[in-house]
Formats: sequence, C-alpha cells, structure tokens
Amino acid sequence: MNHETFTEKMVLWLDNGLNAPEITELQAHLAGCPTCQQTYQTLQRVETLLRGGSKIMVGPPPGFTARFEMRLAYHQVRNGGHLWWGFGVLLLGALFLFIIGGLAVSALVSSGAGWLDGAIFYSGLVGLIQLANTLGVWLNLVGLFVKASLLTMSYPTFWGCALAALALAWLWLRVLKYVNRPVATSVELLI
Amino acid sequence: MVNALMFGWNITMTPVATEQPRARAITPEAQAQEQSWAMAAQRGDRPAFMRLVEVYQRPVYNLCYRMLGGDVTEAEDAAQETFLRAYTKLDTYNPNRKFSSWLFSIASHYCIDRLRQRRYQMVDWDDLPAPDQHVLSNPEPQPEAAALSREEHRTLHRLLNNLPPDYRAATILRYWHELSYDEIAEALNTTVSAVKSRLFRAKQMMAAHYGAMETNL
Repeated sequence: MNHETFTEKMVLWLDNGLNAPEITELQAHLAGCPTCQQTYQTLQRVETLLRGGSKIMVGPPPGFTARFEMRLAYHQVRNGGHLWWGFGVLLLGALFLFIIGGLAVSALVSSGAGWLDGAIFYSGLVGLIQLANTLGVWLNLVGLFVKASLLTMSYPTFWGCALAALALAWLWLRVLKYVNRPVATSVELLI
Repeated sequence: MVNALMFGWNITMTPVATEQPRARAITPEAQAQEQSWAMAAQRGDRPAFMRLVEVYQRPVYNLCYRMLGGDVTEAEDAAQETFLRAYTKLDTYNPNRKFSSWLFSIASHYCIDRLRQRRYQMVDWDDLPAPDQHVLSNPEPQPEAAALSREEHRTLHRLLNNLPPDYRAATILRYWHELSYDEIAEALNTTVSAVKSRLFRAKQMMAAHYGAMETNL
C-alpha cells in the first residue's frame, strides 16, 4: 500500500470510520513511516481546528427577521408594480377599443339615432379630416366618441365586449406574472 | 441584486457568535411543527413563513458566513436572499422532505454560485481584512475566540477559503451543521459517494495547505 492509501485510512480513523484491525494495521505502519507520521499529525491538527471552530454557530445581528420582512416587502412591491403597470396599459387599451367599437356599432345600428345616420356621419368624417388640425375638432371628436360609447352601452354587444376585455385582462395578468417570475438560477433549477 | 445598504445594513454590523451544541437535534414534534408551518406558508400564510425564518436564521446565516469567508455584509445578504428564494419557490418544496435540507440546499447553491462569480475578481486573501475582524477586535471575550485562538481562527478560515466551493459546502455542512452524508448529498444534489470523496479531498487539501503554511513560518 502507498502513502495515499494510508492517508485515506487516517482520514477515516479521525472520523471514527475504522474498525480495530484496521487501526492496528495503520498504527503499525505509522510507527515505521515518518512521511505518514507527518501527514497524520497535519490531518490531526486540521481535524482539531475544524472541530474547535465548528463549536461556534455565528448568528446574524439582531433584527434579521425585520430586515427580511422589509426586503420581502420591497421584492413584492417591485414585482407587483410591473403587474399594475401592465394592468393600467391594458385598461387604457380596452377603453380605447370600447370607444372605437362603440362608434362602429353606432354607425351600423344608427336607425334609432337620428344625429348619427350615414350621411351625417360621412359628412362629419369629411369635416373632421378637413379640420383635424384644430383643437376644437379634436374635442368634438372625443365628445362624439363618448356619446357613441354611451349609446352603445344599451346594446348587448357592449357587455359582451366588456366581458371579453375582462377575460383578456385576467389572461394578461397571468402572462405578466409568469414573465416577472424570479430569474431561475442553478439553485432553483436543482430544487 | 438588492444592495444590502438599501436596508440600512453596513459593514459595522457585528454577527452574534455564540457557542451552541453543534447538533441541532430536531425532535419529531419540532419537525412536524416545521412541516406544518411550511405547508401553511405554501398556502400563503406569511406569518408561518416568518416563524421558519426565526428558527433558521442562525443556521442559514452561519452557513453563508462560513461559505463566504467571514464577510458579515455578504453573509447577511446571502442569508436574506436564501429566505427570499425559499419564499418565492415555496410551491416547489416537497413537504415529505426535511425543510432544513431544502433550505440548506438553496443557501449552499446560492453561496457556491456567488463564489464562482467572485473567482473572476482575482482578489488575494491577504489584501482582505482578517475574517471575523469585528468579532475578534472586540475587547469583550468572544466565545469563538475563546474556543480557538485568534491565529487559529484565522488559519481555519484560510484553510476553508482555499477549498473549492463544492468541497467547502460539504465540509461546513458536515462539521458546523452535523448533517449526515445522505443529508449533505441531498442538499448539494449529489451522491453519497461524491460527498465522501469531497470531504476526503477537502481534508487532504486543507492538510496540504496547512503544511505549506507551517513551512513558510
């Protein structure tokens, strides 16, 4: 057996992993091998250092839990913020769709609204295009959209669109939550 | 990464070093309690998770502190990050598994990743302040300083810091946390024979380094 083999046995001995015959054999070798004696003394010293040092468990400074709660709150706000931004953007988009949709539905179902029949709507559109550079026209346009949207609320289509938008919002939130999940590292991949 | 200083931590923080029985003997009742807290936390019960933080803050901090070479700020940050990751990944925790093993697994891998990133910074140990400087410079007698002399303590840290991250993790989990080979294997996501091999190599490397240090004196 070479020194390496005995080194393994020495480590096992220090870890109480040898039986009596193996210990006797090792002791016999140590008695006649200065190199292994030196190795054993060093290993013994390292073992003593490890056992002495490991008696101590170092704890965090007081207030660790409170600091962790702050960090957790920060983490949640930071991640939650993305969700709310996404939700806001989605809400604005949905509102815009309602207005446009309302206008379209109003134009199609204009029999009950005299002020929005095809001719007026067409001439209105032409007029809007001609005067699109003026602020007043834009305000009129917004007013027209709002009126059309309010009118549209009396139709089941509007509520269908609203439900569809809510469903889309929920789906969008799920997607954002998935996208904003903590970045996977080797730690998480191994768990 | 969240900077530790954002939360009012600074390098003057002194860790609390106390001599405790090394083995944290967990009674079946305590283990069942921890499992129930963990399961409650999985259902969204935050106070239940905070109880687990209370129970495990010291072992997790100790592991991070030893792994990261005795840097107080880094140890605090790593321990906090460990709990944060545990909280965000609670749905992956298997209640049939020991909570402590799962937590040590997160902490060990996080510290190993951090050490691997640090490797590229090429900072010499001798350029750094002595480990546990805050503890050891304290005029009050510290239990750790009492158990080992200042020089011995420094030597132990040097020997540990000289080990590759995987070997260091196995050694700390074995000596400081008294985990069995099976538990270390589970925490480090490896086999029992690999753990035994790492521990043997670690001691061999430490002995070689210790011998070299003595020769240079």
